[in-house]
Amino acid sequence: MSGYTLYVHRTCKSSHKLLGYLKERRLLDKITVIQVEELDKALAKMLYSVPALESQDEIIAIDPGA
Amino acid sequence: MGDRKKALEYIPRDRDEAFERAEKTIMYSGYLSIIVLLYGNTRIVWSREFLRRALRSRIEPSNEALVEMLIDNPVQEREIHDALLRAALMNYLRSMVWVLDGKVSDVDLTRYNDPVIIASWMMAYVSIGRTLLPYPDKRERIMRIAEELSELLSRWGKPYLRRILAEYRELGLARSM
Repeated sequence: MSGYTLYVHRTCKSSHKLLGYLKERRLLDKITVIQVEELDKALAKMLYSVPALESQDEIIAIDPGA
Repeated sequence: MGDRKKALEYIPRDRDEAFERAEKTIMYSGYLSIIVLLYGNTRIVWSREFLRRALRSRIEPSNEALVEMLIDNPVQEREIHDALLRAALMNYLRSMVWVLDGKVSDVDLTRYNDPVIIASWMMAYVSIGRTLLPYPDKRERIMRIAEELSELLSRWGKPYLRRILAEYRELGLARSM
């Protein structure tokens, strides 16, 4: 387990592209993917944009170009 | 490695690129871009946490120096006003496309082109309950922005809508189009 979490939304083109990219490289099973449509504790996460990548409980990259 | 190189392209290397990344991060967030538009400054947005994300300083810790530089130098809203308006127009049209499940006609573009609707939408968009509800002090500013957006919608609504509908289909969200 790599410890990476990726936050995405189905209406988001960048999320869609990124998931396609990860699938192509067989990396999807190495990360946890969470749809932010109904995210637990979303307000505490301050996820003002997706896709967003989290590691060790910190957002390390966020759209654009995540 | 190609992927590594590509990832690094998103990490700013100097002051100018740092400003560019921070501005882009605001633009790409419907939430942040409308907050900056309505409040007329980046004060609410401009935190260390925001800058660390925008500048990828957790991936490239040496960028903490750029974070510290930017925190004392917020971007002025007027410098990015036009780009913020365009982003807001895209997001307004997206909301319309989602609610109408992609069946947006030219008549709808006129019907929902009303500064009162646009202003209400923006106020709801940026607030969490009453928190960050930009009222009453910002009322006049919001109405002025809504008028600007309404004018932009009359001029650019059709071509922007075409792009958003194409994206909506591409994402497989259209159920009955």
